[in-house]
Amino acid sequence: MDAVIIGAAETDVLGRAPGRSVLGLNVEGGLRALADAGLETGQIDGVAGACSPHGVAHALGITPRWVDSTNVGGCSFLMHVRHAAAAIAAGHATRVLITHGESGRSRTGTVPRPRDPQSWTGQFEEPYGARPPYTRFTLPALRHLHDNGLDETALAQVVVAQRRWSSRVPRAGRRDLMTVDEVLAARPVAWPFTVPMVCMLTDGGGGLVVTAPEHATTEQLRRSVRVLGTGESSDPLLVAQAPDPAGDSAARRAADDAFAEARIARSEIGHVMVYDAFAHLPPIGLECLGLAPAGGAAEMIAAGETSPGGSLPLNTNGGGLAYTHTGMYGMFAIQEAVRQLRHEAAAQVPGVSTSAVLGYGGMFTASSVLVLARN
Amino acid sequence: MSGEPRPVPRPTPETLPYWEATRRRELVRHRCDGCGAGSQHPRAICACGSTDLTWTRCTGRGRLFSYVVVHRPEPVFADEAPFVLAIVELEEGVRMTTRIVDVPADPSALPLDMDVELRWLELGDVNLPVFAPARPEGS
Ligand SMILES: [Zn+2]
Repeated sequence: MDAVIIGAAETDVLGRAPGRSVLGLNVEGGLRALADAGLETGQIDGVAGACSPHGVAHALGITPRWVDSTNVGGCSFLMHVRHAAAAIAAGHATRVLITHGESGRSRTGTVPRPRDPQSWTGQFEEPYGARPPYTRFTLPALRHLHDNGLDETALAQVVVAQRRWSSRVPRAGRRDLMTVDEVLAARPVAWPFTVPMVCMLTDGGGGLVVTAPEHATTEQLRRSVRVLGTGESSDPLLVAQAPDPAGDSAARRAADDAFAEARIARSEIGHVMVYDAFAHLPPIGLECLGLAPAGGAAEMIAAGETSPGGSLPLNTNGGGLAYTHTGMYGMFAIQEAVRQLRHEAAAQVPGVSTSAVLGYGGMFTASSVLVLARN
Repeated sequence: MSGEPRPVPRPTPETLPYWEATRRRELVRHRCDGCGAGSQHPRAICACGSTDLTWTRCTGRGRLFSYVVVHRPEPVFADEAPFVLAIVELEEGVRMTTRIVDVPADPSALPLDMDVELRWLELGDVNLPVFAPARPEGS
C-alpha cells in the first residue's frame, strides 16, 4: 500500500447547522480538505462519498476520471480510502477527494427515507418496532456482556473514559465528565443503553484528499499520513443473523486484512479510533482489532488504559458518543486519527506515530479498518 | 401520534412462502438440504455451496439470545413501550429479530438463554411470529 492522506478537514460547524444542506456540507468538507492540502479543484480527478459524489463533483467543478459511491453506512469513508488507494495504484486517478456531509440533526436537504416493507429490514425487523439504530445496532450487546461476565456497568465505563477525552476537546458536543453512577442513572433509551451511551445526533461533514507520494509535493508530504493497511468485509444484512457480531465478524476479517497488509504488529499501535455509535462498540472493536484479548477490553477501559495517560488511547476526540455523530461517523474517526498523527489534535497523545481506525456500518453488518502512520 | 400506520411486511416472490406459512400459524426456515443450515430469510445458495434449499417448518421452540428493552420507540409503537425487542435462537439454529411478549419488560424477568416458545401477532394479511417464556412441559 503506497497511499498518503495529504488533506483532511472538517466543516466549520459540528452540531446544529440548519442553514446548511447535505450537499452544502459535503461541498464545504471537500473545499476545506482541498485548502488543507493546498490544492485546486482542477487537480482532483477522483471523487468518493456516501452521498452522491457525482453531485458533489459537479458542485465543485470537478470532472472525475473515477467515482466511488460505496455506501454501507458509517464505515463507508474508510472503504473510500481503501478504494482510492487501489484506484491510484491502478492509474485510474491521481488525487481523490472523499467528502462527507450529513444534516443528521436538522435534516436540511436530506432525502427522506420512506419505509420499504419489501426490504429485508422492512419484512423482518421493522414490523417489530426495530428501525432506529438504537433498537438494532444494540441488539447483540447484552449477549456480549453476559458471555463475558459483565453487566451494564461496562457500558458506563466506556462513557466515563471517553468524556475524559472530550472534556479536553473544545469542538466536542458533550464535554462534561461523568461517573459510572451518573451514566447508569440517566434516562434509558433501550435498556441497557441510557442516553450518554448513545451517540449524538449532529449536522456536519468533512473531507480527505488521498494520493500517492509521487503525485504529492514535499510540503504536502510533510504533514501527510501514510495508509499502511486496509480491510473491509460484510455480514448478513440482518443483525440477528450475523454469525457473531462480537467475534467472528466483518470487523475481525477487515482487521486481519488491514494488519496483514500493514506488516506491523498489534503491539506497535499507539492510538485507536473505534466507531462508537453505541457504548458496546469500543470494547468489542478493540477485541476484533486484536488489541485486547477476547472478553478483556472492558477491563482495560475500566482500568483507564484507554483514557488520557493510558497505554492505548482510544477515541481521543470523545468519539461518536461525545464529539459528534452526523449519522455516518466514520469520516470523523479518520479525521481524529489524522490529527493525532500530525500532532495537531486538541487532546494530543504525545509522540504517537501509528493509529488503527475501525469503522462499523449497517447496524453491525459491515466493517472496514485502516492502519495509518505518521509519514 | 404520527398518523403513520404500523409497518406490515410485504412479501417479495422470494419470501412469499415464509409469510404464507405465517397465515397458517406456521414458522418456517429456509433450510439447506445439504448441510442442514438455515436462515429466516431466503438464500440463493447455502454457504456450503448447495442450492437445494427448501422451506421447512420449525418447532417454534428456542432460547432468548439477546435483547433490549425499548423505552423510546418510533411514534407508531409509542403505546407499546416499554417493549422487549429480542434476538431468539430457534432450536434449529436460526436466529431472528422478534418480540418477547407475555412477560414484564423487566430484565429480572428476562434471563438470557431462557426457553421461549412461539406466539402469533395478527397483522392483517400476515401474522408476526413473536415469543413468550416457555410453559413447563406438559402444561
Ligand atoms: Zn448448506
